[in-house]
Amino acid sequence: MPISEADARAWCNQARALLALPKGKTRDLIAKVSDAERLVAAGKPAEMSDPEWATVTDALATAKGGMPARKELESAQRMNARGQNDPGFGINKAPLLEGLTGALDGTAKKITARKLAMEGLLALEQPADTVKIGTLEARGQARLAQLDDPAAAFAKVKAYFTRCDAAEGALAGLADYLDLAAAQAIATDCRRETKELDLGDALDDLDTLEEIVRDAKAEQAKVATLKVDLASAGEQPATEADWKLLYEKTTEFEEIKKTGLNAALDYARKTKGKEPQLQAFETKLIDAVAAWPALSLQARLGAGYQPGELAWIVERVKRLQEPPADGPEAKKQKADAAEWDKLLVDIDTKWGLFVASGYNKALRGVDIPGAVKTDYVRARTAAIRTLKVGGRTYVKSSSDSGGVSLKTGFPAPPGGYERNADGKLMVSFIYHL
Amino acid sequence: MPINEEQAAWLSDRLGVVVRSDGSAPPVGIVAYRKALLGFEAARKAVGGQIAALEKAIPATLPDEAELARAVAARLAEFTDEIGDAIDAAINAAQSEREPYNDTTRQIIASYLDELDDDPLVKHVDANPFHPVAMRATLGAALGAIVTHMV
Repeated sequence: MPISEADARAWCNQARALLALPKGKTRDLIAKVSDAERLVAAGKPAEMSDPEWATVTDALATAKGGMPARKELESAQRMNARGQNDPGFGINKAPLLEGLTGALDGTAKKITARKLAMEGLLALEQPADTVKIGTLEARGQARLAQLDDPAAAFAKVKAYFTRCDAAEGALAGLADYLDLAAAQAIATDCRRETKELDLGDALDDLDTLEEIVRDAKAEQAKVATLKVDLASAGEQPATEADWKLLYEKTTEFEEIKKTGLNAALDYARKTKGKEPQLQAFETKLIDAVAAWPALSLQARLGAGYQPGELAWIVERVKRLQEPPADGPEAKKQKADAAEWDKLLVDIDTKWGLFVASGYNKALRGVDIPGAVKTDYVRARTAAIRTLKVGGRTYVKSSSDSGGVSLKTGFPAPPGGYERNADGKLMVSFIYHL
Repeated sequence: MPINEEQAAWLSDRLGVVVRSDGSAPPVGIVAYRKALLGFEAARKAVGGQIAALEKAIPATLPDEAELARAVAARLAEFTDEIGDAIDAAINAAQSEREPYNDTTRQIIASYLDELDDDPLVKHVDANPFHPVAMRATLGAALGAIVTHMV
């Protein structure tokens, strides 16, 4: 867009005025702190003015407040420094110790601490972080031997990691990140370093993790079975028998999906009518479904659907009468009808799966008459103009009532199916997460 | 070892651990802090390019304001250099495992962040009609990332 000369000159004049203002405050701060540090280094703090002291002390106090992790980090860094001075302890442990120290201290920040611990362990994969596992194991075991009942303590820790290691189904990939033997030794070492000889807190955390691993292993095993079954049914179930098989297989996992979907449903009920929370609901739903990949819509509806696309359904499609049985027109109509049959079987079956999955109910948690539904659906589909389903392009339209529909590019067979006033089949759809 | 998206999702969901699918471990603690410091240079270069373009765009519209354009560009360059110097000092300090940053580092970076928000010239330049400049957003994001990764 062209700039008017008046606007351009006005901008320049204001810029000129701003250039005349004093320069930034940070430069002053740096200068003051620098002066203060110089005076302190020279042993002349008394020469600093009160404002200079205030600046320096403010700067220091600001950073010291509200840092609950600071103590842990400093402790870890001290340990790390000791480790670096030990020739037999060649490990850059700062990120690791930061996390493990938190994980083992039994504070209220257990969840965060566990995350940090995991991240710390993951960081071991970085080239700069090398671990002498044998050394650490030896140190860990030697120190465990100092406990009252070292055999029992070691067995418990060892068993934990063994079980973790065995849970390959759940931890495929993770086990490689977590060098569990090294983690065991490091955890032991950290525990000793921090004088926490009581294994109780640490084992509480480990037990929690173990439960997660065990649950995940079970779930993943079921999911793996499901995948095999789905594969045997074909990625794109084409016949009713295939769909039936898919349906049966998916319904076998009601227990698995229950937690996630119930969480979503609970959340939907709580957020009903509260538009500002819909986004959070959606996120919750995504999380819930994503936790069970094989039960996601993609798996339920076939490989043709990708996350972010729209899943489509039809709410009510019924055949009013059979097409003509004979004649050239009948042949054409039959061909059209066959197209529709194929489409509608697909639609009805998928809709049935939607309903059976509970997913439909979850979405209907926000399907509230009035502005919420209208605004939500419209907002989420505003950018969508056409949708390809089964190789056919559908055009989206929105009705005055707020509903959203898709129209096919070919007419419904005469008298064949319920259709819109203009002869096009009305297909409703919902948003596919 | 790379993991697939499903595994990454599982890790994220169950453990709250973000693992990238290329197998690289997430930036953690001091590692992330150092990365954030290094990330400032990219932001600084991006802003430098925008300012240079602005310096050319002003006289293209108002030839008699070439001197002002140079002055504005020089002042902004001075400002970004100042921040850059502070970041350089922080990068040097970050090599220390024991004390990757100190309270003064924190205060200075936070102060620059405030200054970016408050500086009237920066605001004015961001709103200039000659050439798009996003100094506050670009440098602010980079400095914000640094502050975020200070444990």
